[in-house]
Formats: sequence, structure tokens, C-alpha cells
Amino acid sequence: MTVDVIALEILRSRVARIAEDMGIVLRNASFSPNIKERLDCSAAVFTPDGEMLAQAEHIPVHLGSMPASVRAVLDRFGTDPHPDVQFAVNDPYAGGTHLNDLTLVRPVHHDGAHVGWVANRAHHADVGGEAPGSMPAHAVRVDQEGIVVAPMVAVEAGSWSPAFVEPFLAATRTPAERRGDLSAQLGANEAGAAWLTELVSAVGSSRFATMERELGAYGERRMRAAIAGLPDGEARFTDHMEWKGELVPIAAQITVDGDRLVADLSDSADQVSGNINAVRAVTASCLSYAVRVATDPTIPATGGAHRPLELRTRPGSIVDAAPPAAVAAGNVETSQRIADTLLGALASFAPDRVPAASQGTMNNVLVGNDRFAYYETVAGGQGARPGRAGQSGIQTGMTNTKNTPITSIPRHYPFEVVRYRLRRGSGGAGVFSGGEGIERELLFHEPATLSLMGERRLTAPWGLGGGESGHPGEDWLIRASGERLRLDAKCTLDVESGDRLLVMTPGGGGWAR
Amino acid sequence: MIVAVDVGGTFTDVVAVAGDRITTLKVPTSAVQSEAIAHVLDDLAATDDPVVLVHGTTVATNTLLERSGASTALITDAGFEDVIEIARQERPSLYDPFADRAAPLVERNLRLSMSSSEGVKLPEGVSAVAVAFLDGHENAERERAVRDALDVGPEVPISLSSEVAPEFREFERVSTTVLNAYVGPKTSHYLRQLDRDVVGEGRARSVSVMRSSGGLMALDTAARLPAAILLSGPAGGAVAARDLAGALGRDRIVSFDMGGTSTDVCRIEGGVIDTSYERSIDGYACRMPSVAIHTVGAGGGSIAWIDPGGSLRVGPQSAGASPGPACYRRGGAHPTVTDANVVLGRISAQASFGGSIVIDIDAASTAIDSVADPLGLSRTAAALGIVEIAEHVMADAVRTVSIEEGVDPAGAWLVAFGGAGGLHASSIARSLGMAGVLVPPHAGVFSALGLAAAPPRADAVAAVAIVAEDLTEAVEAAARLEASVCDQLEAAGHDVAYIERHLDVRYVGQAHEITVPWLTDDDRPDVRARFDRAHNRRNGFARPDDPIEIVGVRCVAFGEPALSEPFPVHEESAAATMGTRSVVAAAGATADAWVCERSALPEDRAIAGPGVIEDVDATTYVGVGERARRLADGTIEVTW
Repeated sequence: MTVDVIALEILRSRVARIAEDMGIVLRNASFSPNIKERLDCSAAVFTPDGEMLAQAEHIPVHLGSMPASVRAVLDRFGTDPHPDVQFAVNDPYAGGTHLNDLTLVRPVHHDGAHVGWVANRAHHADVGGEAPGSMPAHAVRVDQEGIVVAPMVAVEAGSWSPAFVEPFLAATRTPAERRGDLSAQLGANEAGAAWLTELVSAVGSSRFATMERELGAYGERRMRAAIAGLPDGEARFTDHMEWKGELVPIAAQITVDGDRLVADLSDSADQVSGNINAVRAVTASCLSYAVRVATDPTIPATGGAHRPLELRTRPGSIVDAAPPAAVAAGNVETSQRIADTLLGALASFAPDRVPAASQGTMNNVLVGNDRFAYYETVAGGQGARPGRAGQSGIQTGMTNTKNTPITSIPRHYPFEVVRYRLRRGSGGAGVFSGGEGIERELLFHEPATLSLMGERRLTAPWGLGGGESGHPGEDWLIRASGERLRLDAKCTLDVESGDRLLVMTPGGGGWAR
Repeated sequence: MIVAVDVGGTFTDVVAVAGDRITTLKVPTSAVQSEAIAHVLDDLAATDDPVVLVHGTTVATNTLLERSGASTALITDAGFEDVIEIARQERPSLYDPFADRAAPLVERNLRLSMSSSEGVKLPEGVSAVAVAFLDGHENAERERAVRDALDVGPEVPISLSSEVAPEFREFERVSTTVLNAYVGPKTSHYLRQLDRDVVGEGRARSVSVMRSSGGLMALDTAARLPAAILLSGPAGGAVAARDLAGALGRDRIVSFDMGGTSTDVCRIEGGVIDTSYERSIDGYACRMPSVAIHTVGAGGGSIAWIDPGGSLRVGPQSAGASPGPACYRRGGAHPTVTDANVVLGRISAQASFGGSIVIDIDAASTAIDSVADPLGLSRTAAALGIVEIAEHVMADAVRTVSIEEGVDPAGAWLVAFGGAGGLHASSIARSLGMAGVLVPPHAGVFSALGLAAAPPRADAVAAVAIVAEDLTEAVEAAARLEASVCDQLEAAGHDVAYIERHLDVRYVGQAHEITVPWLTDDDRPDVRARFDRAHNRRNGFARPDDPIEIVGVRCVAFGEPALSEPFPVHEESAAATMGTRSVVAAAGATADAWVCERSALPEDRAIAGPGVIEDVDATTYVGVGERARRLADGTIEVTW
């Protein structure tokens, strides 16, 4: 059966719309600022065998990693799922990324036949573990970072299964907020399933199956056309993570051969005894991201588009961590460096598209005690672009979350923001200069535990074509006494009323001399 | 006589209503909008009946879109000078590093901080000032003191965040205040000129302009608060659609205004137009109440193209009015939705759209072939495909405004206007399970009609932080706001017809609020219940046992609209005849369609499609399986 180009275009758009609308339901229904305001969430639609058809993603680190969640459910529960269940997973070693990201996966049936999956992922501000916010800087094992949910039945006949929800809510410091966000996730999948059933019903099951294959092929054509626009060849690039004062290399070799691209990261360092280990799903997201940046940003987020990309990693390395290593920062920090490394290699294939390095960190700040949990990421400088300066104070790389309004913080949390401005002069010099970082200063009004997770404090975001590096970041604790302490960018410590935290985020690299 | 003038990008639409007589006019938009208005008034001035002029203007919007606003200084707190640039930190495109965030409207050297009580010295060349402190939403005194201390002349307007948008989120408040300052001098210059040309020269008794929220404001208020008219243009259509639905007794509608480059849709239920309190205009956050119009980049001029994966796409690139669709023969060569409609016979080769346009079928065919041939499609299959894809994009917009509010568009009526709205409305409405389509008389100038029907309106807001059970603080705030909105209307010479009050409510711990009606001072239990219901509808759940928090109080005063009667009935045309024309109704199927003017459409029975109803400035297509009839007021009703 052939499918005409117009029907296919409309189906593509309708499936994409289902993912987008699931995202709207999730955002509207969510309780916490993390999802509603910061948009740390994604929604997607899959074929019965787990290939992604469409994704509404708001942050790139979810791009290539959502399929792993469905894959993990398929591996565990088989290809003939019960129609009236939803599965939950956050285990980084079985379909997850880091524990905060909980993915809910639901099979979709039409006339008794399994026709696909819908899934959504949301960042939960606290899932237990040894520090508020669930990213303790000292963790070496994943179970220190919070509750681990291996793929399991979470919803049966529309109700939460006690085996999932009770331990999950018992583990978190903020059960009321979690309950609200879980309801939102459940509702988004229910809505998505109803819409997908409606679509399959309108199109007809067998025609829909044919069109699914065509959609996959379409995504593949788009990606192949994009890669074919790059010259054939090989390029290597190495960048570094910072761990206890040492540099940990991430090395990539990219080979372009016609319309195929191979990214080999096997020479990257071994995983560390700490939390900066990235699971392979995170690395896959980084590859999807970097290739889109370097070629065509409009390639659809489908499984087919990923077929021409081959990712090689070495199990047990920092880009393909093996259990039981801690991984919280792998998702939020190492992901930034993997993207930098891949873009560094891609720059020689697409010198007119790849910018100098952006800030390369998310500057995670987590504050909390037994009453509250607050999480934010602070933007920084964008790397200068070929022919254009980098933007200042903007999210780059694998995240794109919004800030929390300064005026709303004292209403909800026992601290306030006393400075929030650009870090003037922090962008790397060049014909086009890198964007500037941010200075953000918090004043605490109550004892709390503070966790920082940042990077680019020892190394600097690199320039391109002779442009200079951006300024590395700095973190300072100013005690109520006036004493100033330079902090390690990855730390967990107690702060007192009157203490201040000053985070100065990195500037982007410059472009050309 | 009421004269409504709606200035658009290409055409200026005019509706003049005198008693039961209505005159409509479409003239090319001139560079100086007030000149065209003066000419129109001179042409219309046949009677001594004093003219009440109502005006939808794009002057403020164009000032922003063209970045031709004032050299604006921002005075704010030390340490927070760059809030205007950092915005909410997010970037506009996840994967395109070249996509730039909207550039800040205040240059770095004009972001001035007040670290102590010493005065601020303005740099040379500053022509507008925004004052926005972090606590501007709850402390107006500091900002007023700065205004008093600034040594500038009256030609440099000073906008205070405590007056422009006193809401708590600092970036949105600063951004709105800066927008107000930035577009201020140009907008007020235009409005003063208009006042001189129109009222000063005796062409009209009064002038008011449409505000984004769907009501009219006096010129001097608009000159002080130009941020309130940034979405002046599309608001008229929603007001007209609301009134039409009321007159016809249709409770749930979606207005559908299809133009050359984009389509505006808005949901209206029970006579209430969905209102939005946070908008982004060309990337700039604007917290002013506005009619909640959702715009998609699909219109008559949208260009069809083939993407690198071999798929047929339509828009968002548009040929616009210039060069326009290929069939206009004004230099456009790309195939557009209008060209597809010409090839399909749905737009007549004799159409002129009420003006100077000549349709060239051969040019349309050649353009459509440029995508048909590479795809191996016939010309008509490609044209049908282009129409189908464009309709899908527009249907998505209708779906979006519904899903966002937690409701299903099924069962609602689609009110279609703009020159091309009626060509695509029935197909879109059918795909969404809607009840039917209404194409009002004067569909081509319907938004202008809405200006005449819009009431004078004043909006005010105050930020509060109320967790307690009692509403004393809100009652006090509301009393202040009511006095202010009543003063505004009365100063403009209007009696206050009624006042609406709303509260911005959320569950404690949430970062987003829902605006719910607030009827009486002591109805907190009802406010609570309304909030729970609204939350359940939009968000799918309610938590009636959780504490709530009130973060904003809103008051709106309304006056009586200039045109309070129902719209005048469409006049009978002499040439009420029916003809036929060949149209492509579906894949490979050509059919004879009836073709008539609106007045020839029967009132007592519905006739089956395919058919085409041709007004001077708007076309309605009735597809196979659909039927159309004319209602008493001249509205075309299409059902299936």
C-alpha cells in the first residue's frame, strides 16, 4: 500500500500535535514550578515496537533518551502489554537518565490491538536521597541520590498502584507537590492515549501501521539529507570534566561517510567514583542535539531520524556508566560537556554553523531543609557564532529551563535574591565576542542545606578560529561575619541565616581573532 | 454617524453606520494612517450627523516591529540592571544557535541604577524613560519620587511600572513598562496628530482607539498607556464575533479571521471572550489584558514548498500582499493557498477582492505545477493538498485555544471572516466535529464592525499576597482600582455602565494563577468554588481542601458602546441571480457548483454544496456534503 505525500504530511503533523497537546496537559495540570514554569518535561508518541514517532521536548537532554524508557518497559514486560496499565521508570540503568526524571509510559490499544505507546517525563524536584533536591554532591552510588524505580506497573485501571506510589511518596521530602505532579503525568498520558486511539480509528489500523513506517522513513531521509550536506571525513576533539581538582577527558571521533555519521566516544575516561557519570541514553541525546545544531535544526524528533547516527561508547566509561554509579550530575553537567565535545568535532565539518563553546554547565543550585526544596539552574554566556556575537545570560546546550521570578522567591522560600545581573566582561574576546555569564546572589534567612553542581570552574569555554576563551565560573560563600570562601563548584554544605551565596556563571568563547 | 476605521498591514477597512444604513470601504493603507482617515471622513461626510470615530491602529505595533521606537532609558535597582536582557533565561529555539532572543529595547548604557538617594542624571539623547524597581508592584512611592526628581521636559514621557503593569513578576513588569516607554513618543505623536486632523478640523466629534482587551480608550489615555493598544488590530474581530453569537443565540463559538499571512482564532463562550494577561509581542513580554487571540502563520499568501525529506509543506513563509500570490501577477512566483483556490475554481477568475486585483489562472497553474511536478502529483491533486495542509494548520489553532482551556471544540460554531475565512471554515469545522460555520455579512470588514460595537473600557490591576481567609486587603485594593477605572471613563466623557472585578488565584505553592470573577466583597467561598471549578476544567484536577493564595486584583469599567443596536441587516442586492461554475470538489472529481451573491442564497431552506457565495470582499465555499442557508440578519450558516 502506498501512502500519498499529503496524507503523510497531515499524519506527521497530527502525531506531532498529540505530543504537543500532551505537553500542554502536563504543564497545565502540574503543580510544581519545575514543570509549569521551568518546563522541565517532555511528552512523546511511539510505535508498538518502541520507535519514536513524535516528541514535544522542552529541553534537549530528553531528546534521545525518551525512547530508552519505552525500550526498558518493552524489555521487562514484553510486546503484548495489558491495555489498562501505565508503567513508571526512573532507573538510569533501565531507561532513565537521573532519578529526578520520572517517565510514565502507557500502551495504547485500538480494537483490542496494541497500536503504540505514549510517554511523558517530568523532573521531580525531590525524590529522596541524601540531600534536598536529590543531587547530593558526595554520592557515589545511585541509591544515595533517591528512590530508584525500575520499570514497574504504576497505574492500574486509572488508579495508582500502591506498590509504586507509596514508597515514592514516602521517599520524597515534598509528597504533596509530588502527588500533584504525578496526577498531571497520569492525565497527560490518558489524554494522549485517547487522541492516538481517535487518530488510529480515523485512519484505520493497517493504514496507520503503514504510515508509521513512512514517517520513520521520512525522518531518516531528513537526517540523511542533513548529513550528506557535510563533507566526508574524520575529526577528533577532546574536552574535560572537572572532578576533585582533576580533569577527566571526554574524547570524540566523528566520521562522516556520505549520509551516515559515526560518533565514537570510546576513548573517554572511565566512570568516576562520584555523580558525574552519564548513562548512554544521555549521551545519545547529546549526539542528537549536536548534529541538529551543526546541520538542520528542524529535523523532526523521530526514531527514524536517529537511524543514520551511530553512537559508539565503552560500557563503564563516563559517557556510558555502569551500575551502581551515581549519575545525578551526568544528566545536568556531563551532558553539557559531551555536547561541547561533539560540537567541537563537528566544527570542522560545519565551520559556518557551529558556535564557540557556550558556558557548558547548568550551574545547579539546590537549597532546602526538612520544610522545602528549591532547585534552579542559572544561565550563562552563549559561545560566539560564526559572524555574530554570542548572547548573554541565556540557557544553552542541553537545558532550556526558565528562571524563577525574583519577587516570588521570598513568598515561598526563606531566602531572597539580592543580585541578578550580567557578569560584564566575562565573554571571550574575538572578532565576535562570546556572551556574558550571570551574577546571582542569594541571601539566606534560615539555616538550610545547599548543594551546588557546576562545571567550567577550572577549564574555560573555548573559542573558535583564534577567539579567546570565556571566563570560567566562580562560586563564593559570604558568611554573615563577612568571611568570603571560594566554594568547590560541586559541594553540599550547611548555610546559616545571614550567609550569602554568589554564583558567577561562565562566559561563552569568542569567535575568530 | 459612527465611523470605524481598522488599519491593517495592506488595507484599511472602514465601516460607517448611520441609523440602519451601513457603508463599507476598503482602501490601501497609507504611510500616515491619520491622513487616510481624514480623507475617508471627507468622502463620507454627506450629512450633518456628527461623527463618532472609533479606530483600530497599528502605529504602536509597527513602532515595535520596525524597532523605530524611542531611545529609552531604564531606571531600576542596582544589581538588577540586566533583568531586561536576561529575561526568563530561555532561548527561542532549542537547536538553532542563530535564533536570537528579542534584543533588549534599552541599550546597556541606558540601564541606570539607583543605589542611593542621589538623583539620576540622564544621558544625552534619551527620549523616553521607564522606571521599574523590583518592588514596583507594591511600592509606587519610590517610582513616583524618581519621576518627580527627573529633570526632563514634557516631550520625554516617563513610564512607571507601578502604573503600567503593577504585577509581581519582575521581568514581565519591567518589559511591559519598557515597551510602554519605547513606543510612547511615536504613538502619542500620531494620536495627537489624529486628534488635530479629525476633531480639531471638525471632521468628527470624538475619537477613541481600540485597546488590546477589546474595549475603547480615549486618545489621551492611549497616549499615556500605548502598551495597552499593541494588539489593537485583531481585537475588533473577536468583539464583533461575540456580538454576532449573542444576536444569533449561539453560546459557544470560535472566531476565525483568515488574512493574507496569518489566521487569528479566539474562543468565546457564554458571551465572554477569553482574555489573556500575558502575551509576547514579537518576542517581547507584555502583561496587559488582551483578547486571547492565537495566531498561526497560515493565510491566503502562505507559500507551499517541498522540504528536504520530500514532504509538501505550507507556510509559515508568506508571499503576503507584496508580491502576493502568483495569480495576482505582481511579481510573486511561489505557489500559495490562494493560487490553489484559484486552480480549484473556488476563487473566481473574475474576483477582484473589492479592489484592483486581476486574477491570472495561468500564473496560478504554473506556480502550483512547480510543486506538483517534483512530487508526481496532478495539478489539482497538489492544489487540493495545499488547501488540505493549510486547513490542517488552521484547525490546529482552533484546537489549541480549546485544549489550553480544557475544552473540546466539538459542538461549538466557527465564526469565519476576513476575505478568505469562508473558503476554508467548513472543512476545518467538520474536521473538529464543530456544529457549523457562520459567515457574517461584511465578512471582509468584520473587525472594523467590531470597533463600532466595542464598549469604552478601562482596566486596572494591583498585586496582592493574600493567603488569609478574609478578603479585606483585596476589598481595599478593589476600591482604589474602581475609583481609578471610573475616573478614566468619566474623564473621557463616558458614563460607567458596569464594573467587573476579578481575582488572580492559585493553590499555595503553585507558580501559575487563574483569573476568576469576583462578584461581591464577601463571597470568598464562591470565589474559592469558582477557582476550584476553573482549575478542574483547565487543568484536569482540583484540590478543594488545599489553601489558596490571591496574588492579583483586577477591575474593569465598561461604558456603553457607540453602536448598541444589533448590526444593521444586510441590504438586498439587485442582482440576486445564481450561476454555475466548475470546481474541484475532491480528489479527481470536478463538479458543477452553484455560484451566487449572498443575497441570492435562500433564507427558507438550505441548499447543498458544492457551491460558492461571493461577496464583494469575501468568498465562502460550501463543500460536497454541506449545505448553506441565509439567516435573517444576512449571516450565511453552513452545516452538514
